[in-house]
Amino acid sequence: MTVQPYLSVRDIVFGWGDGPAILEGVGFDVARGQTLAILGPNGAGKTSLLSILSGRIRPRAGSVRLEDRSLATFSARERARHIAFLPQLEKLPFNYRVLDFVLMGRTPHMESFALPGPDDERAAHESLGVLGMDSFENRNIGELSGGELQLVRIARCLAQGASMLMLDEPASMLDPAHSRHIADALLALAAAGKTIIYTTHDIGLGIFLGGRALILAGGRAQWDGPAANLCDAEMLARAYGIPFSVKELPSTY
Amino acid sequence: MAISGSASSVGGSAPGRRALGGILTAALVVLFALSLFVGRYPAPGFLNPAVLATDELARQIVFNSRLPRMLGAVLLGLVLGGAGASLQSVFGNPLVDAGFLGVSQGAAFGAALSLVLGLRAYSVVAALAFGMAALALGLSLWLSERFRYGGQILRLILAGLAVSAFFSSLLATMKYVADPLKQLPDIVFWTMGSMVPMSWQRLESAAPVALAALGVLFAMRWRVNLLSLDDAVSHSLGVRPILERRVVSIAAAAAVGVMTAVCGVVGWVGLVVPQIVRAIDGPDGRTVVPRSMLGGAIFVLISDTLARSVFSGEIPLGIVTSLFGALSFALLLTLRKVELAR
Repeated sequence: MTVQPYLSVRDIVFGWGDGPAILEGVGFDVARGQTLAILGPNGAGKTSLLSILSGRIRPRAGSVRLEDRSLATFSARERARHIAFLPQLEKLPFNYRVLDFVLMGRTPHMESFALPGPDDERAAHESLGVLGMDSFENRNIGELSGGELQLVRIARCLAQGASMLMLDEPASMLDPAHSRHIADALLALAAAGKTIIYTTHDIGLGIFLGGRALILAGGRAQWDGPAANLCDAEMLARAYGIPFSVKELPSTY
Repeated sequence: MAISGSASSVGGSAPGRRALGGILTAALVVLFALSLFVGRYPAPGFLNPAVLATDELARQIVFNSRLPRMLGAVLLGLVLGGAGASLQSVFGNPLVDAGFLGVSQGAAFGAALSLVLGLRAYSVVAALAFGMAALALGLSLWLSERFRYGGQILRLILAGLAVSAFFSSLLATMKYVADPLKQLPDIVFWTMGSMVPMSWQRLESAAPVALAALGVLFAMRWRVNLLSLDDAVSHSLGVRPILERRVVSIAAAAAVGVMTAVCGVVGWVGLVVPQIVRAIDGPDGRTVVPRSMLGGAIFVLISDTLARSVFSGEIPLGIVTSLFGALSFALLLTLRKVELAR
């Protein structure tokens, strides 16, 4: 019995402009509700791959299919109801109120020129509640710490109501407590049935969140397996091309 | 990802939000009614409305000169404030103003060219001004597509800068070759902006484009928030940032172009009014766009009333708006932080 994958990625080739290919034939399937970590050295193409999966950039070759339909054939609104993409960094030129900022996530459920209504406000409020941030809704985003801001940005993704979250480095550059808080939130979202694809350099985070992991290097998936097996130092050494050892170190995971 | 902290955490409760909109609308109506009777006829100061019943010249001045001129000033203010607020949002840059993308300088060059060529009929001056404003906008958009540097926003800002500078130099050339006695004063006066040329006829010719563009900007007052976000985020939300940013730019430029074609270059309103509104009210486009329109209308109406009544000779409107604009901008920066990008 084969289950139709939710997201199906085949033979992705990609490079910027006329430059050399940084992805040279990447393919995998993601089942509904699965958590997938994408790891790999800097420059391996993790973020590019995530941008391709979210439909923001087109690959030179290969296909991305969502529910057995080419992602390129989805309208912007349809796609936005399936996939919420969160870049690692985003420019925030204005000091929006937290609730208004999260309300922007409701866009795929609103008519083009409509203003958000009470239902949208409720959804935004609930999304903040899921992440324990509802008491922040009348604060401004400029007053938040990095960790609080990250939670609010994830709340905006939840308000979008997409079943798949694509998060670029969701827990990087945060203190241990906030990293752990984000990781717990992602675990809860996965338990609630969200499909989560994220990139990370933190092997510990990959093991903690579990599910599946993929190590990207040299333009290809060097390893693809259960995230629990990321403890294998020999495998890591082969995939990254540098020596690894497994030690007991302080960790919040 | 850093945001400059702002002291303002206003923009909270819905009733509080509505209050300022009501205050601005009431202020505009009251100021309009008062300004109608402020002027220099029959003596400097306030004209007793009772005089209208008996004095034919007073009726002529109030209904055929002041009224269209003041409606024109209100329309110009709505356009400059609304265009400035929308453009600042969609470019995520609070220092962009209504005339950027070369629109103001293009219009100024068009008018100067017309005057130098001896085409002094007002319709010709306005047509050339609008044509050059449209050309400048087209050039900016075209050039931004060809730049091989930066993202869409940076490319548009750089293209607007280059096109503005290009038309400024053409304008300077026109001033240089203009007859210093016959043509130069007209050019200088035009580039300083004035509501003097506004008449019922010119108001009727400019209003349809300006009102339609204002309608587009008003309809997009929530959408501009989404366009202020990172393109990667707005794309993920199902917005088409490049297309929609272009729609806002064209609507703003068309409105500013058509008004500049009649009134000349009136600076600072589109830059400073949205700043003030944002400092009081928070950055949400739902409030910033309509309130910047109202605030712009109030600003231009007061400035124009001063321009026509303080001295026996007319002061160019652009001088008054620049003076108040620069002063309030400096004051704003001193009293509270203006939010700057990155």
